[in-house]
Amino acid sequence: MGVTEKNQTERIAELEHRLAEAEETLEAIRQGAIDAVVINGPTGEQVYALEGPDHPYRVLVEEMHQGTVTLDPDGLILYCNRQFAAMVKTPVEKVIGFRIHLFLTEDEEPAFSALIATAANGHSQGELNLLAGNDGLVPVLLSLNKLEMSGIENLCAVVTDLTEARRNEAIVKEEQLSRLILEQTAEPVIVIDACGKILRAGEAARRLAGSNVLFQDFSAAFQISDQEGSVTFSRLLSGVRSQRGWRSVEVTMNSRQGQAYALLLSASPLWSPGRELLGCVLTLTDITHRKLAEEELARQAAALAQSNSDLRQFAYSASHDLQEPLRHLAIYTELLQQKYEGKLDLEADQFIQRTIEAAHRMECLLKDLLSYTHAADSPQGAAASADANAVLAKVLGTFEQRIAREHAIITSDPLPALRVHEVHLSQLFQNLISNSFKYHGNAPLKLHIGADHAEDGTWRLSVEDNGIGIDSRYHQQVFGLFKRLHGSSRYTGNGIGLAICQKIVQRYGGKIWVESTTGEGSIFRFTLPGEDSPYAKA
Amino acid sequence: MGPHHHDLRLYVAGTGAKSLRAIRIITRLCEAELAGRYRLEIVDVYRHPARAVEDQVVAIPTLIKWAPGSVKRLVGDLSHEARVRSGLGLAA
Repeated sequence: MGVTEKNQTERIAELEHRLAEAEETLEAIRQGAIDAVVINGPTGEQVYALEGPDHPYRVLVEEMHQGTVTLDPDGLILYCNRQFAAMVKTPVEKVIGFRIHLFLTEDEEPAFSALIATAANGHSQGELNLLAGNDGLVPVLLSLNKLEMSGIENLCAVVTDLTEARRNEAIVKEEQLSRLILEQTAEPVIVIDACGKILRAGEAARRLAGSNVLFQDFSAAFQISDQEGSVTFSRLLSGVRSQRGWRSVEVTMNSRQGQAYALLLSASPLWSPGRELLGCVLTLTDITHRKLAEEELARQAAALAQSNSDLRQFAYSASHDLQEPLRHLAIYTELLQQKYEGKLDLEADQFIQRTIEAAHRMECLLKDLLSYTHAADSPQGAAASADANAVLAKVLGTFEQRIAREHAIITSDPLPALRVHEVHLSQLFQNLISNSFKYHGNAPLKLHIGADHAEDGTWRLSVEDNGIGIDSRYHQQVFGLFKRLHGSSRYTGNGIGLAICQKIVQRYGGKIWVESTTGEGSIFRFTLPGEDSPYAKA
Repeated sequence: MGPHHHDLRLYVAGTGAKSLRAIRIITRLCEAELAGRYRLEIVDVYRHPARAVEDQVVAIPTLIKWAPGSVKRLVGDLSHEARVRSGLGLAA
């Protein structure tokens, strides 16, 4: 076969192919299987629809403000207008031919399925969120209608963007909320405009003013003054504009009824979006009662301090003034003994001896009374933080020789920092440990100093020994002044140590007590404020 | 697009009934038989009339298969399944 013949065969094949296509097209048109025809008219391409004059409707659908989609029963988007595509921030080509579920989040799917199901009865409507663009959501109102088209029940949805409506709703709700708050709050709240006129006043504010102060001049309705004088509206404004502002400033007010109030004034400015001062919001907290209580407390504290001071004075001069005649008593009785010992009868010697001992004992008692009076007094004022471990170490140092000699075993927990004067803490440990040494039984002394935290930030310390113990009947008495449980022969001391401990502990708001049984050792416990305790007081 | 992938273009006319039907049928078919191996472009002739003329499309809807194999055109709503399958080169 020659070249031209080959060409011819190819040409014929191509022509046949084109003919077949053209015939198919004509056949399709004849069968009515098409919607429209595209014609190259004199003014460009024209589309001629074969199904009636739908042009105005098409324009309407394309141009309308709402979005619209035509869906098949499974949610396949067969058609969408420009608005819908814009609403979901997706180009039209990426919408048509895709399922609407692409624009639904997982939690919206049940709602959407429900809408579709209801639309089967003709119509359904509901609010949903659609995914818009990469990360956004757009709240919409979906209105679905059944649309039967050539045997298939498609759905036509009109999609209305609710973003604007929602925003307005939110604003209205906020306004309602702020009104409620203003009305119901127990604190007087007032809103003033830039000219000093009261625009809003809650119920509490009206009560404070004694009348309905709405639309009145602020300075007239509330006669307020602070340290610098009368708080006029202009002072209020300049304060509100400045950095300082009005934050819980103590002021006084005289109401129309002649009542005096102590108040805390706070005011914040209201700015317009253009930084223009629209007015300010004021709160007045009534602290009248609190101030009265404070004054009463201060008065009582002063009275108490005076009383204490008086007592101290009394105790001091009493013991001081008693010391001198006592000294004389002791001296002359000693002289008596020196001169007449053995020169009178035996009884006389005994009487003189007893008198001397009594005088000496009384001197000790007076000395102890003096030290008890002064105990816990100085240093005055609030304490710095004391490291209990260091204090204990120093105190134990003074017992060093005794510990070695008696083979005593001393242990301790790690101790906290306490808000107590070191000298007081030292005295506490000194007295308690001294007692433990004094009253230990036959076994070598075992002493343990412990510490644990109580719930309220105070610390509970303990000094535990294996000594002779204290019968429960006397657990209170041991802290009394000059109370001794044992005769002076076996154990020395005047019994004032524990009383001093109690005085010290009480100064810091704590308590001291003992847990003990005869023959089974004792645990002395006492509470003191920790470094950070809110109860630490001078 | 691989060498054996189907490259398809469907011309539609807005919300015309036949057009919507064609969309439905062809997307279903592609999802079922050619998943991941096809590209389907849907062109609305009311939005882009010039493209119809460019592709020498007269009657709407028309499906054009550019690949694989020789170019094939199917006119109408694609409801004749056997014809569509054969036109796309799919088994009957």
